[in-house]
Amino acid sequence: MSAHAHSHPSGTWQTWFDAYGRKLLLYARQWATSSAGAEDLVQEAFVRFWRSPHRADHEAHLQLFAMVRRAGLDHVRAASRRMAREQSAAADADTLTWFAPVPDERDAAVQAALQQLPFEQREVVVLKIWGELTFEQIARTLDIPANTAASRYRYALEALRRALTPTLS
Amino acid sequence: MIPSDPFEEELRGLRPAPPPPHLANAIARALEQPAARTKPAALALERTRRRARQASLWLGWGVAAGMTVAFLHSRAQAPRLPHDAGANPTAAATAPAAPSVTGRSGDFTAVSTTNTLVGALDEGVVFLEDGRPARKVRYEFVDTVNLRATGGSSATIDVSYPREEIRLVPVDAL
Repeated sequence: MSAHAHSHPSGTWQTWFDAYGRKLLLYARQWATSSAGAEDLVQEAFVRFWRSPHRADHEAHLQLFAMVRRAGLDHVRAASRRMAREQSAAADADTLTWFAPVPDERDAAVQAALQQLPFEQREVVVLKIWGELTFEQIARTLDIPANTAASRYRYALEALRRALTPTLS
Repeated sequence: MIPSDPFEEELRGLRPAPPPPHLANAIARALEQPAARTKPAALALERTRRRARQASLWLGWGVAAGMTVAFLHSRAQAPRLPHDAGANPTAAATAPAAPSVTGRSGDFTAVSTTNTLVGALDEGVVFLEDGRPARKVRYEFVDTVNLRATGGSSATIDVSYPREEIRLVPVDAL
């Protein structure tokens, strides 16, 4: 289907949600102060996306991530809690698992290591590895240069490697 | 072909937790409801804000410039012709009037405006509130307003100030 088409993408909204829900929720958890907050961000972004008359098939998933980010920014500004995104991971550390429903030691270690990353690096890592976006797509979603996205990813991966190598090996 | 990093592959092996069932139900309920009044598109809102800032900045400079020049003029008095009871009263009536000393911005009028582009920066593609992709370009201008006194004086003043304008141009496709 052409990127210029204004008709609905193929499949129902449930199809799209099944395809991208996990990734969107993981990304939203980088912005929210609680699991309920993350779910609200995904709901707001997804409803806005599905209702948008400018929704396109081509790279529509970038719109979804961008809308989650915009919703996260709006909520952070509204709450005047600029550091909320830095604290959200810590706030959920004891109650929320980001990965498999039944986390094992490895999942918990990865989550803990991610939570220690600066937000800007964690955001890029989540989009790159679990969002499966390219650096160019990440750059467009976050409105940053592609080189910046790549640098943040490199630093993040080095930090994760240092923290996780004993656990993963 | 760039070989895959085993560490990255290990991380990719972790699967994000699925959304809880109540989230899909909440989305379904929200989609069933009529859409709320949408916010103005980011493009129109951005331009409206910029124009409001430009207008208030220009007005402020105009008032300040007018008051400054009028103050300087108030120190100089135009020569008055002597009035003689026996002289032709018409001659006295045609003597040049003193320059305006009121200091009101209305004593000056803008006769020309020059907008000089001094820089432009393409900041890449962003997404508008409605999801459309748009290219964001930041322009830097120096605006110069030439003001001229209207009360018979030939005083002029040029007021220059920097102005920044961000333009969001929707793109058809990425």
